[in-house]
Amino acid sequence: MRIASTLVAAALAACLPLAHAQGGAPNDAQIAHIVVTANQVDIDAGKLAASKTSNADVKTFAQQMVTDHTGVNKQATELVTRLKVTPEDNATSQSLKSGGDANLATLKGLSGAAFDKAYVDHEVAYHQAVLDAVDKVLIPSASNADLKALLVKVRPAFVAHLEHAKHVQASLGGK
Amino acid sequence: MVAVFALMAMPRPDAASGVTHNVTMDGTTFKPGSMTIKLGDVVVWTNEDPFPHTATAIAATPAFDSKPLAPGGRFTFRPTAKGDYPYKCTLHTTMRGTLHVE
Repeated sequence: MRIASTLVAAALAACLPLAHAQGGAPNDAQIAHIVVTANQVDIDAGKLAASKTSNADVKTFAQQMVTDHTGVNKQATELVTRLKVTPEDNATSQSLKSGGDANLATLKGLSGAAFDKAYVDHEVAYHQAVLDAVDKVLIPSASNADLKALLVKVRPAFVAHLEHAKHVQASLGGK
Repeated sequence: MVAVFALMAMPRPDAASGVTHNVTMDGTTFKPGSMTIKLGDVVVWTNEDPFPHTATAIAATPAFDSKPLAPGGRFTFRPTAKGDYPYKCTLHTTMRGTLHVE
């Protein structure tokens, strides 16, 4: 499972910047779509984990992911509505969605400690990969000041989530 | 006239006594992160992020704990003793601040 999680992390970390390196920098409509998709992927995983785990720390973390990423998406949706921007699907969003679906499929086949470990390991890798994309692609590419400001504003929360995930991972006897 | 403008620039006096100081929870950061106040003053934290935060003193028996504040929520604390009060958000532990009461 450790190897599988590492492979997932490597694939995820690689796909986010590369998906756009192939098609140039994303525009604001694409960035908006990436933000909403990235949050939704983590909300979906969090909902599954919160309903399936019996570990209190994992449940608390999962519920917070649902709450926080739902809040970010609400603010992102309000912003694009105000800016009259229609989020535009793109290769990075599609990578995120397919990766999220694959993760859900894996998690649904697991239970108990194996489920907890797979979920938390993926959360560590996912938040690291998303932070990488935020820093290297999304913030530098955003042209609208308000969209860029939103990305800058929510970034520290993703850092906190990553630290929280690593803490839970350690408590599970992980890395 | 100068005195009037000087008064307008000062923090708003609390209804009871002392001065009210504002801290925002914004970008998963306490702003300002460090604040020095007088005993009798009041601190008001306001959550300007789209998800919950807490302002919780770091101590075995915390002098204050806002519990989770929803977006837009506020928490008020009036210290009753001088000293340093380091605090954090229990939901985002990278988010820390310090209150100096003199």
